[in-house]
Amino acid sequence: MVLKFETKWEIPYVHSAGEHGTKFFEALKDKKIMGVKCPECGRVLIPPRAFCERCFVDTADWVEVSDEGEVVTVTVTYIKFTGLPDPPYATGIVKLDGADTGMLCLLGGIDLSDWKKVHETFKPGARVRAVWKEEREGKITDILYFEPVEG
Amino acid sequence: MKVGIVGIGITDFKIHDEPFYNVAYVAAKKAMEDAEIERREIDSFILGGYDNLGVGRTISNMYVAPAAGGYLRHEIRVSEDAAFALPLAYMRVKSGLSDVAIVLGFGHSSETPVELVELQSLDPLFHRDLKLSLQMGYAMQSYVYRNSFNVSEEDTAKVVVKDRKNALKNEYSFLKESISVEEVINSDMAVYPLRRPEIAQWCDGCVAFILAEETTAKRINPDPIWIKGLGWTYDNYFMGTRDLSKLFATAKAAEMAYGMANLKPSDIEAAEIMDLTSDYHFMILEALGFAEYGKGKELIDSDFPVNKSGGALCTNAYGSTGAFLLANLALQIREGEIEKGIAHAMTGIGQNAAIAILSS
Repeated sequence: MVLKFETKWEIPYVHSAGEHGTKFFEALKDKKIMGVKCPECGRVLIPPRAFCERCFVDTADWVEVSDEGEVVTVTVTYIKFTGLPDPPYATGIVKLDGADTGMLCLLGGIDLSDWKKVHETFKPGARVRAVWKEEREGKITDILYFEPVEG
Repeated sequence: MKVGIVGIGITDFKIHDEPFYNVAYVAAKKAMEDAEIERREIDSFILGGYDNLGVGRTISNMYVAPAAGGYLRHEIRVSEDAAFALPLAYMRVKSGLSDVAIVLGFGHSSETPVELVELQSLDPLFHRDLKLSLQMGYAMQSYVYRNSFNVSEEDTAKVVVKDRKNALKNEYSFLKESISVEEVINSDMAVYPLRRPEIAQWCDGCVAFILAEETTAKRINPDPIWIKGLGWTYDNYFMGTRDLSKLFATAKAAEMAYGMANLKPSDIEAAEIMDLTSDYHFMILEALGFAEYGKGKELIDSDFPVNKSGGALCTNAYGSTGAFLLANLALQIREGEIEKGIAHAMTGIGQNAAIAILSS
């Protein structure tokens, strides 16, 4: 047998959100999701960024997109990963109305313990909308998750 | 001037009791013994693997450079799967700056909460709070792939069965348990839509290669394995910006490697691919040009040898999986089973790829 030692890193960082991030996160407080438009390809990019990596030009206009959209993909974990939340929880990509790229997000509002139900509810193209936190603080977690839009 | 592989060292792939640098030393030593050279004959030391958070120690080359035989010499480190370090070693030799180079890849998963480490690679403002594990990222691609191309559970289960069967015959592979299609389909749902056997498990293991320029290579080894083509690419880190049904980084890296080798997919006799999930197996074969998009499943019953090693599904050490596959391909060439083959490595959530085409 060899000895084992437990070690841990706890390192506090202070990250700048930059101009684009700041505008995006401030808007979340008002339940608004903001993207930027590339002047060349015309795509509305979420999350907003300073430049379009495809066209390699500065992005220009800000565009408010809907907090509703359609599911691109979904997954639910039923296994526990060290340091991550207890299962089950679902993440996915949602393409918001008015945006040209998908947004990574949590999905919920249904019983996630049954993967068949998850599959039926969050099929590609299924309509979903954001469920907002009551007390918003300008963070990505102001959107608690996306839930199915009935009917 | 050609560049050849003249020495290969592979350690056991298992859960090691020794720290990663001691396992790495074994791989380097084996590669030098295989090439029948001493460490003083090596003039470039190229290290590959996930340093820092990946092994819980910053500046991992402080540990791995001596293990490679680089004491009081110079070293370069590629903080990626070690397959991404091969092009760097190749360039050192091809440029004439080096006659004999070593690539040492370390992979050590058993001490590290890999999912928590990989979470730190996500953007801290937009993505990290969403608690996406690496496997959840893979699964989101599987979901899109299965829905886009009508791929069934039976189709993906066959990949697991085939890889597992091959691994049983490979002395170096980690997971050696046969499984049936029914057992895969009836196993627990782990990360929807992936069942437990459809996701690669973590293990530890190291791989080393000795590279040499043509004249030296022939002096060291009468039958070097030549590096014919190399390619590598990075796709967008924002998953929502990518078409998740296809592996564009793999396709672009393959295009680069085929171009350099002046070969096409039909010239290739075997492939070793980093199928971290069952779906990726099909997606990679499609991106490498062996099947049309959505038709990778048709190759499962063909004679074209894929993952004779057992693939990443049976051997996956965080940082050396791609190097393991590359070594297995090289051994198939050395044994005379094939003349030309392709080895594929992929990291992140499928957005980074490195390809090597080898020949006798």
